[in-house]
Amino acid sequence: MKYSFLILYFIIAQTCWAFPEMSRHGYFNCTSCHLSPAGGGALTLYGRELSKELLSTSSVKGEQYFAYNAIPALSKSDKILLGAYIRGLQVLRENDQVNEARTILMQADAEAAYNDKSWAILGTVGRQEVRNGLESRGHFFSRRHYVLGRFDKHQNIRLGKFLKSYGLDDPNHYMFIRNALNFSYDTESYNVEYSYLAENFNAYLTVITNLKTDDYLRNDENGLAFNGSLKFDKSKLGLSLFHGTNARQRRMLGGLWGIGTFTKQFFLMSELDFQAVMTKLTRTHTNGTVMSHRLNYEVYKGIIPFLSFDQKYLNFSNKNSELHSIGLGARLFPRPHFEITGAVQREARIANSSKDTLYWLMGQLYL
Amino acid sequence: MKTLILFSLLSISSPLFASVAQFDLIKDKSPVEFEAKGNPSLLSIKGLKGKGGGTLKFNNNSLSGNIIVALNDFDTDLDTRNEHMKEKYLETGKPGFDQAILKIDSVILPKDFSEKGNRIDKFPIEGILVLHGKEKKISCLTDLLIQGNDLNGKTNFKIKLSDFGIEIPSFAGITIEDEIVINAQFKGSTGKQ
Repeated sequence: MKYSFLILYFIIAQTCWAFPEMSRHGYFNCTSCHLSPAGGGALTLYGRELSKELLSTSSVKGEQYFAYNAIPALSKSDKILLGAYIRGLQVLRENDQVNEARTILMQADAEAAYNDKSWAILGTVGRQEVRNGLESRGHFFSRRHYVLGRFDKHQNIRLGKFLKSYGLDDPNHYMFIRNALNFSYDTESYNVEYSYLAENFNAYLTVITNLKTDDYLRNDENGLAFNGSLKFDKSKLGLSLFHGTNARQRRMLGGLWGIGTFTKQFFLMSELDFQAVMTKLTRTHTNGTVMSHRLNYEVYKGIIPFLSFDQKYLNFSNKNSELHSIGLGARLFPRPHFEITGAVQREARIANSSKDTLYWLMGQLYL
Repeated sequence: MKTLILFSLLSISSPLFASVAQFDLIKDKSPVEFEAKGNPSLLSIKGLKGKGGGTLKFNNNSLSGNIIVALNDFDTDLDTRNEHMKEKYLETGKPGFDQAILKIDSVILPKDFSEKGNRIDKFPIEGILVLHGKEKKISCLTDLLIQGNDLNGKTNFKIKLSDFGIEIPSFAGITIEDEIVINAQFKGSTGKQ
């Protein structure tokens, strides 16, 4: 049980801080707000404007810029993009055996990028939380660094260390589609990514390597990933494919995902994945599914309660692998630079009817 | 006799074209929108909440009139962007710059206009657009239907900002393409109902 918080940490951690649901405001391509074609990380100047005007409950003029516009020449530059992220988590897990609470510093990163018309370069430095049971220590590292080339307004190529694009690309790793598929915290890898972005269609093809520059990198797969989506008014429908191998196994994934925008305030995010794993040593096959759904309603600007349902059943021949989670939570964006997310989740293992209740509250400050 | 009955029926269904009729556009039912593309990121920016006012006058088979749109009504969903658009680029604070006017002068409608029930579909109507202190001839693909005292229609056309002396807008690193698409619907009434 002493490892439960390690698991929670990986389950809940958010790192790339992307908002795929911005499609509800008509922003289909991630590059409206982020330097990265696949979203997350360094905000463009336009992204900062949207964080103020579309996400935040209240704000004052100039508040949205880097470091509260402390250095206007840098803070409002569209060439030099700067950011800093501090993220913490308070979590409580209850079940018949345990009642544990803990506070975790999840992320402390600084980020800088130079963004030219046809190319860009980006790097982060920060603290990586390295855990061993209940012990933890900080480790200096770079979460992502890459160079980006833009051939024209549609085509990009990116080389470096970053998260591969797959599925909804939602940064909330409490969703089973992230943590159960090993696409969660610290799974950045060295990749080559080609992206094609159009008004109503986008596609990402990523060659993934298991190059290890850091003992604590959690990705050990070589592989290939495809993620593509079509726009339907303010909704999205996507298809994802992944093939990965490591020393132990080969796996294939296929997923359908979508963001359904019923109104600007009321939207659904869903993903369903099928996974087939072949264990190399025993040559046995394991098939299963994972799904996550989150129904959101923005009751007031920057206040978004949600209901979530997640299911993982990664081995159809083992009923013990089936887990459901029903959650009720809210995301709050009180002002630019702040995000607070909290939820209560009831997790049930179907085979033995065991149940856990998980309460968590996460806060992020970004500059 | 048959001809007389037919003529009478036509006169009832389309009373207009025996004479002159003037329709006042109902602003709240005449939405005008624009769509601009922004790069990088292939952003689609819509300006909504524009309203078309003015009058359209039919004189036998010709159409004249003015459609007037107050530029300060447009909303692009971002306050700062709205402010930039109106103050920096459209310069609506300058005299006469706060509205766009589409002037239509004696456009001859198709000969079968009345035979088709006072309807035209995707008919190119030429007019003069007055915007930002400049005038430019434009052609609008227009649908139009007159039923009794009501006029319904829609039109769309493209303009280039540079034709009107409007600086290419750039906001927070996003630069707008020169060409803008305008879509408008209009509803008018003769006020004789």
